[in-house]
Amino acid sequence: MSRRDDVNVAEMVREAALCAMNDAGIGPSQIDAVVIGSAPEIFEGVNSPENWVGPAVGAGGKPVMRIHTGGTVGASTGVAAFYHVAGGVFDTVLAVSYEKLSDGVAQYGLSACYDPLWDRDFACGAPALVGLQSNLYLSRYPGVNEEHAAMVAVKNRRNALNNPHAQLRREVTVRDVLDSAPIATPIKLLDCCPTSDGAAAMVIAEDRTARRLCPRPAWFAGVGTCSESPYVPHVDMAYPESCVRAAQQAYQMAWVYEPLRDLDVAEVYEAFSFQELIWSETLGLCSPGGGGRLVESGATAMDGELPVNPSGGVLSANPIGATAMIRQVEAAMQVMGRAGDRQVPGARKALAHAWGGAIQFSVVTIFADEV
Amino acid sequence: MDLKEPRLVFLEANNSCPYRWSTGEIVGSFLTALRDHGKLLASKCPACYRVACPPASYCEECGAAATELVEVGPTGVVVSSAGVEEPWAGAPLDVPFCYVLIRLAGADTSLLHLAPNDGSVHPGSTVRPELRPERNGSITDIKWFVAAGEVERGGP
Amino acid sequence: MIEAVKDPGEPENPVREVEGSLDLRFRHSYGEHYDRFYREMRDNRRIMTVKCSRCGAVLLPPRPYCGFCFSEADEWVELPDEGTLLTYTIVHLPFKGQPTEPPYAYAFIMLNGADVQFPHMLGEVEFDDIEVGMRLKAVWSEDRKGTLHDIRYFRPA
Repeated sequence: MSRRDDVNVAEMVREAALCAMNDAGIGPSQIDAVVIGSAPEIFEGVNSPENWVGPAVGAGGKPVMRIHTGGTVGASTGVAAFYHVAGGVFDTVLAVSYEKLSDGVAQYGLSACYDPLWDRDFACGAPALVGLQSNLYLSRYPGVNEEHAAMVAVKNRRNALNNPHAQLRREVTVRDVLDSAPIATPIKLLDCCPTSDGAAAMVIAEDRTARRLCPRPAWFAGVGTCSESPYVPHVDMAYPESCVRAAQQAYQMAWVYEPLRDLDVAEVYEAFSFQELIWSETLGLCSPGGGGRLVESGATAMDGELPVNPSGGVLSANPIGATAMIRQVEAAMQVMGRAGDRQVPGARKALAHAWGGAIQFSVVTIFADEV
Repeated sequence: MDLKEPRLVFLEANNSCPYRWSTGEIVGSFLTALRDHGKLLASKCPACYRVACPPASYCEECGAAATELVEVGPTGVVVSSAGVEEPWAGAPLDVPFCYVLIRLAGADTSLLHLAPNDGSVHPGSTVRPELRPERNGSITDIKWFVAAGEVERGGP
Repeated sequence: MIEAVKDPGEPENPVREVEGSLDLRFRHSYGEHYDRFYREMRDNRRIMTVKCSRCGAVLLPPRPYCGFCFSEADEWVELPDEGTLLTYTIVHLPFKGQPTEPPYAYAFIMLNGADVQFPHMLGEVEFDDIEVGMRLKAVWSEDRKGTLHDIRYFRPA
């Protein structure tokens, strides 16, 4: 994940698809259906991209579905593929998701996400949206401050050193973050994710096939999705209900009662450092207002009670359409024991979280090493 | 209180979004050969021998990696055509034209391009490319495909 | 006819990208609700919106249904052009289509009586003096055209 000038979009996605299929020891002929996800077409400037990407990943002659749910699309794609198999309709499904932001100008795409008859003129993309979210959060909890967010950035950027797929692999200090250029207060440059090119893929299979293909598969233990709208009454950007509900659905399925205790590792979608504080609360890792204390205590560090974002998180790489699936892949690899230098020892149950849109979509997926 | 005219019916919005699409090596080589030598290249699949123009680094038929480039054309046979009598603003050409699918000599796939809409080109016609004198490495370095007989009579 | 291309050597500047643009033109339909909302701002210098017939929420932007309980929202009410600051951010990032040069204060304002935020900008206030919860009042433009810019900004009340 970084800028990929050497491949076109279809080739980039094919790399990920081949990687997943080769890893599973299968070829396209053993894939029954393909699910393809990416964020709005305006980012790459090619409409109906599944027409272009599909043949590159061996989708010819198969059922193909394209998924789009804002920034959660990668996770929704994985969940859709899971539904394909869990519903008993298909045995083996390939899920791919991607983004090649360097082909276009991301701002145009982000700007067009807003209603031209309402707030498109005022909206300023993701940084301003999350700036609004973060200020609401900080004003509600005076005990949480920008330093806590900086601690998140320090932790995740350090974790990225163990991840060969991360784009940003250089440590930062709290001072570096606090002194970096303001983007949309309280967010500063080093509180932000980069723009990246990247793709992710998963092969999802039913029970017997999975056990035949893989000595230690990662099982979908819990899935939760929920959406809300930014322009309805009772919305709370600092504690989005959609995330709380998605987490509850997934926890119920996966027998997670106390997340901090029952989960071994979490990959959350922190496009901006402040968000990891907020998602810690909406995912129930701590109580509302406790996000700052949680990161400060070291509980979410690599040697803490529940490591969060051992991959380096979204702060280290953000190919938008792929990012949420990358959280799933990272979580799955943890319970498969294949996370390399970023492996959390003995991880058996892992959470992957995603948010998207104008903070309106949430997807929570839990993987376990047994069901 | 009363509301005045005019009513608000439509909001006009114009967005021009710039792109720089990475081609990858195979498509890049196709465009380079077209720009520099006026040649048409195709990719040949090592597994099923399918020759695809325009080329791709993978075979869309069998999924194998395809990195061998072969020259195809320059002539081809028109497989299908659809005529445009009145080009719209932003159309590929500002004179009447046809969209054509062309099976270039040696290729197993059809290339989408343009041809004159004056009755000279129709399904079954043999055509060859009319290259632009100034080329910059895009598919429009070929203006359109004209009936092969015309060029042989001393065309451009 | 078919022969593998002999390696001509690497060209000096091989093509590796294609430049272009998508020129997109739209005519977005206002619909009756936006039409009324914006003409009220343009012609009558006031903010009118709808109220849900079932849950009573006062909604923004106005639309024929309530996004919360999905009932009809057909009663029009007038909102004062005053409210409190729900949240804000000082935008420093240059961005397509911004209302003004950065830095500027982008705000979500809870107008008195509304149940959904009103997006706008703050003016006549130092950035360091902005506080969530502060009371605000709209400053209207004399040259109104039927857009959110018919209000220039909100200032401390």
